[in-house]
Amino acid sequence: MSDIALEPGSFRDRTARVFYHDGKIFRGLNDTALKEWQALSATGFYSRFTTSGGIIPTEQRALSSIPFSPSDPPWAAVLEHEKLPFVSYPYEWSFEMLRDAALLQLDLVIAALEEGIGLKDASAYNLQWKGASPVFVDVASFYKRTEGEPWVGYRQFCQMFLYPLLVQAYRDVPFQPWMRGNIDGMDAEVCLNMLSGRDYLRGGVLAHVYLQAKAQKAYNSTTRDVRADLSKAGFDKRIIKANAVRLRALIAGLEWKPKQSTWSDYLKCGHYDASDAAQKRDFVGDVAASRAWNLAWDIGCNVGVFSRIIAQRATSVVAMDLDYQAIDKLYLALKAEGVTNILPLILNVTDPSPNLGWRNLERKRITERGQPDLVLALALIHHVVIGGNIPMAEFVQWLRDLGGELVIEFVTRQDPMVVTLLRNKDDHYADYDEQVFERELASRFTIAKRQPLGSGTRIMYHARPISTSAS
Amino acid sequence: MKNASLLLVLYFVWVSETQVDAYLDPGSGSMLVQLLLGGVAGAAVIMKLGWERFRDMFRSSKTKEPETKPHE
Repeated sequence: MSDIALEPGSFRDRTARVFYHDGKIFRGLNDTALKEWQALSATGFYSRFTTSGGIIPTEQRALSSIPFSPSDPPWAAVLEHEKLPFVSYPYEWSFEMLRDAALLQLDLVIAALEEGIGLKDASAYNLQWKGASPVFVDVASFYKRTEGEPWVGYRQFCQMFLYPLLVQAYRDVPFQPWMRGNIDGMDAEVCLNMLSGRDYLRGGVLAHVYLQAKAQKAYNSTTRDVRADLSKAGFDKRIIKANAVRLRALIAGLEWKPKQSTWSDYLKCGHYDASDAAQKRDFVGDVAASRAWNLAWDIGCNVGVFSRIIAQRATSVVAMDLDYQAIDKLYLALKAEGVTNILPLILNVTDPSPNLGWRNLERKRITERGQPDLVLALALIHHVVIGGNIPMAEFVQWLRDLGGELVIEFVTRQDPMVVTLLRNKDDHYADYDEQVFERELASRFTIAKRQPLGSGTRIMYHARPISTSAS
Repeated sequence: MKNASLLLVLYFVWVSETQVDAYLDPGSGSMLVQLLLGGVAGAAVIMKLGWERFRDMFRSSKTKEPETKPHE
């Protein structure tokens, strides 16, 4: 029996497919894709981008090194890709992250064009992250273009990068729910409907949004072969380059000016007693130093103070928060500092990223993308149980199901934040109680350390999961 | 030149807006828009196609013409 697992989300391009074997990630290529790979790997831009981290390091492997079974597709060649610490999707990225991913996509289009290579698509899912650096992973997107062809991925680029960025920059509408709601991104028509009349005068709207929406509509029942017509008329690569260069300038110049966010000034606003903050840092620092960690999650990371502490001892950290602006700030800071092992992501723990797409297997839920061996849940539980109405026992069970050790902060009912959360609600949170919490925690974890903070309203716990027969 | 072509195309798009909304061709409209965004090289192709032809491409669901060679 073959122990090769096909990636269920890799099926759109029939010339190549991602599969897993022996904990490694491979891409099978058919004859066509093999020729394209040979052309790509001989180019200068491919070497440059691979060296600088813009394209995933990839090596061709002998077909005989993989124990294919007769039921596996008859690949002409196999590539092995460097494995990334954590897979993420555009609906988990902040504005600045999608912007940088878009700029990398355009840089690749422009650089490839100079060497006669095109990109057959422009999906945002072709980009992933190494810490705070975007990396292009779908090397099978590149193909040797014939002169006269338009930019095949232009429309998809608009749907997956440009329109989401425009609505957030011009309308302050977060793109993440739209991207999560539609695997193909945002249609021109939808984008247009979201913009106001005065936005028509702003960069990119008239041509990329309005004209494209109308042209698509007007052209829907043509019998003409536009591609052939354009090729005959001499469509050349200078057209693509001019468009891509202008798109690059447009996207680089976009600004998202959000209204004040809930959390990004949380630490600055003094919700924490200064001595509490120092004690918390020490507590997390001690756990971090207790052993080496492979993958740590910091859920409700805010601006990443504790993610950074953990990152000193963890191979990689995924820093998650539901606040768009906090993640944007964290991303920009990590990028400026050159931190390579913290990936900031937007995630609402009470509504985490689900399985999506074809057969609900194309995009994986957050908990299926790598098991953390350490989970931080600091100043989070009151938001989940009281703010999010999640029963205490279910939340603790969810944390247990993640499988890793846990550092959790319990915020007591006397804490000003809890008082604020309860102010306008009927208090039906009998389970929001220190004793209940400790009981639920102790039934699933061994409490290794418990430390009340100086303020007296917060308690830190370090807990190790109790093995069950199932795990 | 660029602005003039943009205005003309806008005009023809407006004219053709009343057409029936059927299955969306995934890129024909987008391919034509690329010409407008392609600077001087794009404008040259528009000229080569000829204004009438370019306009017809946007209105093609109404006016089915026999294939004609691009103006040389």
